[in-house]
This record gives sequence, structure tokens and C-alpha cells, in this order.
Amino acid sequence: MKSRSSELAVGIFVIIFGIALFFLAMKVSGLVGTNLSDSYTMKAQFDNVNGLKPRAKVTMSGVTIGRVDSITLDPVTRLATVTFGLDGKLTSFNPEQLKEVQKNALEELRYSSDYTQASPEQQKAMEQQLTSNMTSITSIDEDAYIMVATNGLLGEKYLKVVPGGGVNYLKRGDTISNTQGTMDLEDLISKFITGGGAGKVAAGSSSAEASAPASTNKDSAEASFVE
Amino acid sequence: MNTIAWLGRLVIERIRGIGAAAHMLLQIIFSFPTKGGFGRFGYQMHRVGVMSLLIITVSGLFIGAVLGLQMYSILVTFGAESMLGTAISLTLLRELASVVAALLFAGRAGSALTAEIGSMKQSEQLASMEMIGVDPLKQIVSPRLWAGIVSLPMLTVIFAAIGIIGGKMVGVDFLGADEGSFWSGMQNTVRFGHDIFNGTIIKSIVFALICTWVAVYQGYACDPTPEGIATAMTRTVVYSSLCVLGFDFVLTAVMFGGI
Repeated sequence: MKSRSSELAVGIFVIIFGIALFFLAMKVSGLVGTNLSDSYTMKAQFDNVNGLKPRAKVTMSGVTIGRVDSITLDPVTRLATVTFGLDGKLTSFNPEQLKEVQKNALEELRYSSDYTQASPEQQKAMEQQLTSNMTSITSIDEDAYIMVATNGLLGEKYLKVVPGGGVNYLKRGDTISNTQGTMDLEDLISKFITGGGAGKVAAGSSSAEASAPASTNKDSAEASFVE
Repeated sequence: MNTIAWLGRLVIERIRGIGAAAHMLLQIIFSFPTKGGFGRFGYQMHRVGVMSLLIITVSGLFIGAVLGLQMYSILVTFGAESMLGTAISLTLLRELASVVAALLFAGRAGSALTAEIGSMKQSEQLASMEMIGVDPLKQIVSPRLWAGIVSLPMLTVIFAAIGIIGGKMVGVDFLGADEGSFWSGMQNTVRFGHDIFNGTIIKSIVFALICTWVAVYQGYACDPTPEGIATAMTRTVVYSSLCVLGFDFVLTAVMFGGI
């Protein structure tokens, strides 16, 4: 009997251990597999991803739609290539919405000059090509841009997808081409001090190199104006 | 002259002790499990692991609660109380859980192992086992050693989980930090392979080996007198605590010292 009750106690011990490990894995480290349902990856190239880390969130309109998988450096362009996984459920259309989108795209196509000048067979082919192109689209349009944003003034960095107004949509696995890298506070302050002007501060850090000679020109111009 | 001889004998004695302990450990680890061994192992799991559960959970809860209290009062001065979850979980997972659980384990279970084996030696049970051709290493020492090596990592994981719950209880429920940022900050920084597997599990396996090895050897090699057993128990607690703290520094330097 003694060994029986001790077996029971050891069994309970093992179960408590299992629960504790499960708690650490799921609730503490957020290792929920990836909790993205129907996930797929996309890429974007940035000039500066200072502060962005793997597993940072990707958001659209404040809703988390994915996580950063990896950050690598492209040796040719020397740009940072960020691969991130997105939730397919949140970023694709359901069948009715897809039909609506296709209808809009077809309407757009019918008003284009190529379409009106083409022969009926060519028109049919163009329509078919358009609909077949729209099978695996996401809800991110081609005019959307992705930026490295900061949570609060000094918080962690994450990726923010800002939707545009286009009717052409990116496919799964595509690269988002409109990007904006980390806005370095130091860059902004140094530009402000060296007289970059308010307009250039708003232009962001992507034009840091370009604006450097320009700002010195402006400095001299201002100096001559004062004289 | 006598002093020098005494000093030399002391050093040689210690080195011989390390050698004997290593010999014993190798003998136990590289031996086939026997048929009744698993039953004895299960019973020792009960005595070593389950009996330590109470002290581990209670101290885990209170250490987590104190961490929550202290971290909150520090972080709130910077307006950074959203980092509370990150601070508590990383502190517990990387350092405190494995070290404190190992120290408690050395005091609770290690000293008991030493006393038990020591008094077996005093009442000449070990010698009589050898006489009838039963290996006391296999019969007595091996199940205890394995039970310690298996149960301390489990206790450490439980300690960490309870500690985080205790920190959440004080920080979020009593002091009013935001619950959403508590969990999400934690999930964004804690990585399973890096923090939980390395910091908690690997560390505690090493500490478990050290603690039970020291305890078992001290019991096995003690002077078979009441005074000798008392000295061996003291040594168990002192040596295993020192080894745990020393190895903790080495392991932390290897695991988290890099980037």
C-alpha cells in the first residue's frame, strides 16, 4: 500500500511539472507554435532596421497581423532584408469580398486605354489573366508601405503596414517595396541642430545622406542672407 | 614541521575524496539498471521530489511576490511598469529559479540523503549488504542519485512557474500594473530555447547532479559515528551551496555572457 500511495504522489508531481512546463512554454515565452493561422511569409527591404528584433510584431491599423521571422543583410544592395510571417486569416479576403475586389479590378480594367483599344478576344484574355492573378492575393495593396515604428517614445520597435488606396493587391510571398526604416532620434536631433529645417525633419531618416550636403548649402545660404 | 605535514595530509585527503566521489559517480552512471531498480527509483522520487514540493512552491510564490513588489516600486519611478512582466520572468528564469531551488533542495533533500546513508553505514547495513553479495551502490546510492537528478529540474520548473504567478499576483492584482502589457512584454522577450531551456532546465540539471552527488558521497564516505554524520550533513549543505553558486556564475557566463 505504501508504494501505491507513493506512486500516486509521484504521478501528481509529474503532472504538476507538466502543467508548469506548459505554462512556461505557452503563457510566458509565447511559444504557441506560431499562433498565426494559415501563415505565409513576405519580405521587405529597409535602409535601417536599428532596434528591430526577430519576433517583433507586424501590425496593420494597430492589429497584430504577424511576427518578424528573420533579419538578414543583402550583400549586394547592403539593405536589411526582413522576412516576416503574416496571418492568412486576417490579411486575405473571404469569397464575397474577393468577388467584390475582382469586380472593382475588372471595372478599372474596362476603363483603361489598353482594354478599349484591344479586340474582343484580347479583352477576354486580359480579363481571364486578371482573375487568375487574383487567386492568392492578400489584403495588402501595392501602394501600401511598411515602416519600422516605435511603441511609445522609447518603446520596442515593430513593423507597421500602412494600407494605400490601390486596387492591385500583393500576392502571398511578395515583397513590399515601399518601406521606411527606423527613424533615429539622434539623426533627427542632429539635423535639427545643424539647421535641417522642419520640412526635412518630417522627410525622415531615409534621406539622411541626401540631406546632409543640402543642409550645409542651406546653412551657407542662410549665412549670406544674414549678412 | 607537524603543521606542514597536517596541511599536506589535509590537501591529499581532499583530492582523494574528489577522486573517490568521481569514481563512485562513474560507477553509478555507467551501470545497467536492475530489475527492482525502477521501483526503488520511484519510491525515492517520492521522498526526494514530492516531499520537497511544499517548500519549493511556497518559497517560489513568495520570491515571485517580493520580486513583483520590488520591481514595481523601482520601475514605476521611470513610468516603465509595463516592463514588470519582463523583469520578473527573466530574473526568475535565468537565475533565481535554478539557484534558489538548488539551494533549498540541498538543504531539504540533500542533507536528508546524507543522514540516511550515513546512518545506514553507522549501523553497518552497507557492510552487511556487501557481505551477502549485494552492491550497496546499486541498491542504495544509485536510485537516490537518479531521483535527485530527475526531480530537481522538475522542481525548478515548478518554482519558476509559481514565482511568475506570484509576481503577477502582487504586481498586477495588488499594485495595479496593466495585465495585458505584463504578459505581452513577457512573451515578446522570453525565448523558450534561450531562457527557459538554457537558463532553467540545463542549469538545474547541472545543479541537481552537483547537489545529489555531494549529498550521496558525503553520506557514503562519512565517519560512521553520530558526530561524523553531523559533520557530513553540514558539509553537504556547505559544499553543494558553494558549488551551485560557483557553477551558476560559470554557466551564466557561458550562456548569457555573449551578445
